[in-house]
Amino acid sequence: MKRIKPVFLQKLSWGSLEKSTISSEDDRTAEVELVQKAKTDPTAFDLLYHRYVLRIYHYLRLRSPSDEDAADLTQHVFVLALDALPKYQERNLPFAAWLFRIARNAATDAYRRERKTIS
Amino acid sequence: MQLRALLAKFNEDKKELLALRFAVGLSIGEIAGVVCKNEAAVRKQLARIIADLKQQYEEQYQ
Repeated sequence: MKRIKPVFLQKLSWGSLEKSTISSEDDRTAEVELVQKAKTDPTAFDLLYHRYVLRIYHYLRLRSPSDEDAADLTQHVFVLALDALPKYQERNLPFAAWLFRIARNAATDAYRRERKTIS
Repeated sequence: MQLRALLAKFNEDKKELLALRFAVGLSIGEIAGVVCKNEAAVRKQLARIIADLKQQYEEQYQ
């Protein structure tokens, strides 16, 4: 059976992933401003989503049993992030670390629950 | 492919560190934030993992 690629993977490529990598202090300052804006502006959050979605997916794919599970969990991570963003403060943790920590915890929760269900 | 076979033998924590560093491209500082450890510990652990990988590769394939 042919697998259907999740929509966000159809739109993005490794090229866009490379462009999203923060490499300078200016990039970092711009991202801090974008994150601040995203707390109240859905368009800014959308930019963050597109900047990180593929990297989050690839990370979660390593911890998921299938492409589909990783794609579902990726969407869940961004819902959690949108929900938690108003409380996020840059001085405690860089945004990328904060987002990947959410992804890590979500994967741990999801697959711990699954193991319990199986056993 | 040879590298993939060696990586498969690593435990989940080690694979996760390698993934965050090389597949995702996070900095050491960012990884430290993700896994709730300090930067020095992450740097040391990654160096050890890479050294292990190199040694195993050389033993098996050279």
